[in-house]
Amino acid sequence: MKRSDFRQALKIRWKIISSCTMFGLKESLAYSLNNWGNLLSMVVYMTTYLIFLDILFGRVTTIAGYGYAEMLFFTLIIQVNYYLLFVITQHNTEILNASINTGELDLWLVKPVPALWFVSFRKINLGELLFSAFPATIPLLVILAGKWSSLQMPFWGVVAGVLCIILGQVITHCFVFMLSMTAFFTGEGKYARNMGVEISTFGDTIPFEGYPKFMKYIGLTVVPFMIQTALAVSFFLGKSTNYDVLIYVFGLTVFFLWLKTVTWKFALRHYSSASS
Amino acid sequence: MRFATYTKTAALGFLQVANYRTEVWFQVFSKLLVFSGIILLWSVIGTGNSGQTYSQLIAYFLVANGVREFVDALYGKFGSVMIDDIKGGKISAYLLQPTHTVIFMYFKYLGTRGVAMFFAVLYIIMGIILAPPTTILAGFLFLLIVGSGSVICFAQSTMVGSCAFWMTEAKGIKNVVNHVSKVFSGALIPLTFFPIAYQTPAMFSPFASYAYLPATLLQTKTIDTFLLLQVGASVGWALMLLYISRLIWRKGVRQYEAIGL
Repeated sequence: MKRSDFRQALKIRWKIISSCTMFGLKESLAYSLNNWGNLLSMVVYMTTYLIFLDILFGRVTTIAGYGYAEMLFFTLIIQVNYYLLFVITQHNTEILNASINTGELDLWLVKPVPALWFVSFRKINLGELLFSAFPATIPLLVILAGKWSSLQMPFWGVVAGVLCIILGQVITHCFVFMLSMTAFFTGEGKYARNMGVEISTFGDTIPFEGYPKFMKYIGLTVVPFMIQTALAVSFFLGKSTNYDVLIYVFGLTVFFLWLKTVTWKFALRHYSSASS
Repeated sequence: MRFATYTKTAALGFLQVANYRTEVWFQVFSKLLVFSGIILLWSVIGTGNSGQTYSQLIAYFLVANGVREFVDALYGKFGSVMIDDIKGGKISAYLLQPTHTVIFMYFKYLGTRGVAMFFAVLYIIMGIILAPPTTILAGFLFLLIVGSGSVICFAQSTMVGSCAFWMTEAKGIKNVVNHVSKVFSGALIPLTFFPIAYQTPAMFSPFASYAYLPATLLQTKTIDTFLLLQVGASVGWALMLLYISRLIWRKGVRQYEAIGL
């Protein structure tokens, strides 16, 4: 590929992502009353989760070796990952499924845009992230701020944790996206996508150290549900210090990105469009 | 209007979902995954402080989550369906039909829940096998509570769904109710784990009928006055919320403006 072609391809992709994000923002602002509802919903969720943690820690001192402050931090990373998954992956896979089911995808396949990129980032609901998710996390941050000193966070652990979140999100996106593509073969992929989301958030159940060995193996290989939250927090808090794992995680990310592209091409070849 | 209309609508809804067989399996696997998450969490927390054995705790969660799924309190999706139908204008067609609109919508939705309900019953049966009820009265009261829980959830979803008449998009409100219900139903954590000050209000809240109360009824050794009071409160909540939901729905319909009407 020539350098000018590469630049052009990047430009188109940037234009798609920025336009779709702006459109998503305008769309979410249209229902202002519901935005307040969403904000309230997330604040209530956060509050109820904190009550849940309080009740648990009224009975036990640690969960899988994590104290109260560490569990609060674990909750924070769960929230960050959930919002990212919700805004980037969940919305778009939901729309992809509906597009395949109704045949609307045909329209997009004939347009001169990179189709895979477009369906991956068609709707990024920035409004929900800025006006609901972020403010709802504030109570958690306030409580956590008072307990920050009890958290041990080595510098390289923080770097590794951030990388795990980013790479884990990419892997999760590819994983959920590929499961959603079953709609190409079966006509409906709603529950396949839901299952993908459930699997992806399975690593949010308990800290990394609490999982049995076989689950850690599964969660870091074929069904990568442990990277973005469980492993990331383990690195953040200095409980895992084997940074070589990051090289493996990077390789896994590249593999999943490749797999997503291959699956997309394969699925398109088997797509019985509405007009065919 | 003959009742058969509603049952046929439910059957049609079930067929729509059952047509996609792979989807049914994905749904089944998702449900197993969610439940295994709860078991995993409790296997790490341990049962040392709960006064229950591990099998009793699993039986509790099987019944609690089974009932919660059975009465549709897990996600309260009927509320979402109602919101979408109002937002998308589909409701105009339903209003013109010679049926009771809310009941028609409910049965239409109920059919699509066939697989989930089947799985919920399996959960409950497994829970009963692990910790069978000690008296016939407990079994009878359990069925009564499942009934009142269904009515409460139906009323809750109708009220939440009716918000769409005023707000157009009301899923945020639906989620608020769901989050509160998740913790205060006792599906995530038994209400007996709560601090004493919050235990009694939580036990007498309508949400307790979704999980805690039915699971407790099956596990209790004696039916005391306190438990009977909770059952009475649940039935009371069911009747009251059903009446309120009807009022809200009627008010919403009166101010609904449909295109072409």
